[in-house]
Amino acid sequence: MIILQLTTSASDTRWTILLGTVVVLALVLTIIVFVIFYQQRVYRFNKKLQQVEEEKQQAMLNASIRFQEEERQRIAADLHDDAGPLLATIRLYLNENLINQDPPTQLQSIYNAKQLIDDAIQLIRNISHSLMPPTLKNFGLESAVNDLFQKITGSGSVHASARFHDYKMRLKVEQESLVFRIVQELVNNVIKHSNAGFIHLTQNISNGSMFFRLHHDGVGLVQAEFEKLNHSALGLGLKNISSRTKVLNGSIFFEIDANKTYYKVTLEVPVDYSKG
Amino acid sequence: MPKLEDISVYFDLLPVLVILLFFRRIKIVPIWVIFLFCIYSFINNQVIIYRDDRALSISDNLQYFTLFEYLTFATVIYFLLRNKLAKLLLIGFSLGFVIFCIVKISAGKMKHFDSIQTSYESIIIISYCLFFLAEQIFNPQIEFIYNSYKFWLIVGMLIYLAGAFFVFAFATQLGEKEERDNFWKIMFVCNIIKNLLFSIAVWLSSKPIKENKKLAL
Repeated sequence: MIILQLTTSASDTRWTILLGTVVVLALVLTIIVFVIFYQQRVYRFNKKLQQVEEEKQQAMLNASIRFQEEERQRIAADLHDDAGPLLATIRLYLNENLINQDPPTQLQSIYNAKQLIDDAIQLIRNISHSLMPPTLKNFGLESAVNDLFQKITGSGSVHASARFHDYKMRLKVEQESLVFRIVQELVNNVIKHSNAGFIHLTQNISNGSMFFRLHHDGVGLVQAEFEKLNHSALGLGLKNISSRTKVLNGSIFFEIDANKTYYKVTLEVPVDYSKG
Repeated sequence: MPKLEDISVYFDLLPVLVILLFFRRIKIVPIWVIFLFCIYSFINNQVIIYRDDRALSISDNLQYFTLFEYLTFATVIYFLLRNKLAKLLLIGFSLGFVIFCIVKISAGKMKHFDSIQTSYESIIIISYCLFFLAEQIFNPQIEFIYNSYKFWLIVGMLIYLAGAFFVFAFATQLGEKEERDNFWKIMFVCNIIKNLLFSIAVWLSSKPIKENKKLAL
């Protein structure tokens, strides 16, 4: 400013003031008009983003409700179709005992009823285990995952293995349960859709977060496909994975390795150890 | 016909009147800062007119006015900004400005109009006004920015300081009093606009505003 003052002659000063004022005011007015219009556009864009996010959350909630409903229907069907006929048959055998007084027939009838009661007990145990695996509750995530993978390998179709590198302390029960459900859903999807020969899960801790990495050699998903399915009406299981990840305050990432030989799913969960 | 100078001076009372009209509903600190500033500005301008003080060599009133004006605008901006670092820097710049003025006062140089002082004020305040507008673009909280009193306060300061910037910067170079008075008219017009915009801000501040908190990303 001082330089400008020194280099300007008295007659030029008037022009400098007039021209400078006009230019600066024009500039300021242009900026103000630009801000008014551009700010509105940014606001509307952000609002649309917020709306999309809300819709996504709504879809997740719907998926969760649908999943619960389907789970209830499955339990109801198991009880109605399997436990119901079993108990009805037991009742028939016992009724027969009341009518038929012949001791050998009575003995045979009681033996049959006992067999059916054992079946009913096993059925109810299976239903209960499918709701909450006892290994998960009693021995933790590592044992539950190993147990699940052993069963999968035992079936002969896929070789499943897991390696927990850093799981000396258990996560909170709710966290373990959510992680187990996510792993279970991922493994189910791999078995159902990917035609994989092996599944391998690793666990480790880095920077205060626990990482679960699931590799398989089948046909999997990459993040873009996961997002797309997550936003569509399809992919109920994926929506459940998303909502559970959200409850965990974690993140999930689907990718394929550079050589395109196997797919990888990385689940990141903030570490929250159980007090016990 | 009233002179532009008189209209400009009496326009200082417009925001004051609007504040008094809605004073029960106004609970915003920056508006009350503006209230005090407008009263001071009105009294100060009356003194200047009475003493015909725009003979710049004895314009000590203008010098103290610049200091008070800077502190008022800086306080208002401080309350309107959201960025903490920018607020801290504003405190730093303001301290620098106050120290500069104290040094001038203690050296007895406060009796001369100083273009550097007014330019410093203008550059800092204009920069912060632009920063505020940028903040509004990147983090909009209401759909129509012009529904916010903050916007009108900032625009008022921006137009006033940008419009009068060259007049202040070259004030000491203008020769005759008549010539100076002619150019001072630019400042009067900007002052009228500023007070009109401040009045809009006061009126808007008395109305409840719907801010979308979720959009504060």
